[in-house]
Amino acid sequence: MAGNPNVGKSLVFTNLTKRYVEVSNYPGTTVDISRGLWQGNPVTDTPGVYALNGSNDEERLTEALLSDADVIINVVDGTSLRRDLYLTLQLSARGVPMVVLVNMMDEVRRQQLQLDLARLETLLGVPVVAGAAATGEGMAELGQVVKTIGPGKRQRLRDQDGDMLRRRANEIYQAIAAFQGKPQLSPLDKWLTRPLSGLFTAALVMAFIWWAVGRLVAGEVVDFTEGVVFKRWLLPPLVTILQKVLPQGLLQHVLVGEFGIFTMAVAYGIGLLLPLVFSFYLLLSLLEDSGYLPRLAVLLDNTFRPLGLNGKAVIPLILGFGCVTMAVISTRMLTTKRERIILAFLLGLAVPCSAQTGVIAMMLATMGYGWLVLYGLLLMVIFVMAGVILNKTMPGRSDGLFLELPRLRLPRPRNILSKSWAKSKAFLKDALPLFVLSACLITLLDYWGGLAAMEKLAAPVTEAWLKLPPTVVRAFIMGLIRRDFGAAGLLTIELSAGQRFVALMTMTLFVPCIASVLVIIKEHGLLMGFAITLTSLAVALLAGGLLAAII
Amino acid sequence: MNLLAAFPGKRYIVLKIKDAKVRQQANSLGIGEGEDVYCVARQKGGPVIIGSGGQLVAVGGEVARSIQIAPLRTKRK
Repeated sequence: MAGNPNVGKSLVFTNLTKRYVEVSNYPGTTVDISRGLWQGNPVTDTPGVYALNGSNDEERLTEALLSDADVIINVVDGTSLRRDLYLTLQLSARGVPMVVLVNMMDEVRRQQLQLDLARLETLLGVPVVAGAAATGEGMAELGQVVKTIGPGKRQRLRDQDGDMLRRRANEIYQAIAAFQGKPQLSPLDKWLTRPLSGLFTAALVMAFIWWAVGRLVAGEVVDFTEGVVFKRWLLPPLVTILQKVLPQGLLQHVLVGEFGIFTMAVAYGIGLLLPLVFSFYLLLSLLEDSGYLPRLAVLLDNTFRPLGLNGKAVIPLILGFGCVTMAVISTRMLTTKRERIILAFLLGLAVPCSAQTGVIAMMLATMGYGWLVLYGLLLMVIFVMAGVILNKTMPGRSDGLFLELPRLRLPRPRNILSKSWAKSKAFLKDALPLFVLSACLITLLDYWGGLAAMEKLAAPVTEAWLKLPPTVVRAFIMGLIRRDFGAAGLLTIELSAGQRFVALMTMTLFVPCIASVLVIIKEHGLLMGFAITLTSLAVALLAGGLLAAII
Repeated sequence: MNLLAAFPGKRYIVLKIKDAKVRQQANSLGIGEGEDVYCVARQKGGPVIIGSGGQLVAVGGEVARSIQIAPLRTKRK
């Protein structure tokens, strides 16, 4: 199944493959694809693309997936047929049996557009089915056509010249469609894209996300799933049994020790991360399906340009204040690798996640609001500086904003739920093994006295450079596992106001938590993971040391 | 003139797109060279929102600067 973005392709897909859906990461790429069964045959939903020019991950992946296809279902939007025909022509040039599903016919009728689909069928030489995935119209007919379909008339487009393809698409469109009126911004659209009202709405949306993920889920829900279900109901009996059955020693530590596989990896992965991941995907799907995100990108495009990013970067950034790990995953929506790396860097370096901000805000507020303001300002300066430097030094060029604004629409709950659930499952499948691995590593480190040794080893840095007591090392290492643990760990150490500020600032800039680092490695490779980690470390120590000298 | 100078509410024809990558994108979105587009809204320095064939496309400042356009004269009703 192939088509442009926002043509209702995924809705057609869920309509056809009602039960079995699997979302997976295609090897070697960072693009999610869905697979399902329809009439006993496997169906793959390829990423939405405007063309097959191999110019980004989505296009390359779609090409690869199409080369295995026995039948192509090309989903097009009846209200933007002129644009969509470009891809249709490219697809039909492949000579694979193909059917064109003209989707959103309900909207076409509402807008009183005249489309001669019989003539379209003749001109394209492949069967054309009219439908509306939202109402289920045309789905049965599509099934009939796919069964009887044979090789269609192969469009002769040998040189794939973009200008020529566009001309041909326009010719076909002119032959089948009556004149379309001027497109216009709806009042809501105007409100969302004008600077003042747009920023106001954006602030509200951001506050809501921060509250929902950072407070409601990271707080209330996780308190229950991790704090009650795991720490009170599941783990105590399990720990008691295993401690009785297993001999004392390393194995016991690995399974149910302080950083054990069950006590940390599974408890965090399922009790903590799963609710966060699911709620995150739920919100992201809501924003995606409603069409709000492109409006936000338009609004903030200019703000991000000096950092080598375009307006689209605002989305992962907002999510970063909820959870940096999740935000790194969503950098996939940026079109070039350069932009993804810049943003992953900035997220890892200077965006405190909700787990941290809660503890940090509390600690700073008790010291006086001046410290809180100073903290925010310093972070912002470091964020902008890092972005500008990355933009100047990274090779290549970032893409400018070139973005279709789909119609604003009310998301469909069923679609959102099934999409979020499938993606959460896929994430867990990837992340849980990594969690288990890191739990094992930390246990071993602790068991063989590594943690204590690190405290001693780091003493010159902590005492001489940062002017902090050596015990903060433990808090920093705990901070790697969970940010709020680390920050809270500082509370138990006796520090002056200045020392506390230095420690908090250093910790915020310090290496991102293990989950984020693992996701960065998964998305950008081991080398980039190390580069981001080491740079964060260097910047944190540099800034911390300078602050310690000044304060 | 380039797209950054377009006035909201006016129609234009796309004359030339210098950047090859931008031209390819524009073609697949249906706003390539020779197309007529309608300026829907514009922020100073970009992005410009243009309409074409029932759809809206936002074009960032840098991209808009590389798209050459000319006013399309249409009779007033």
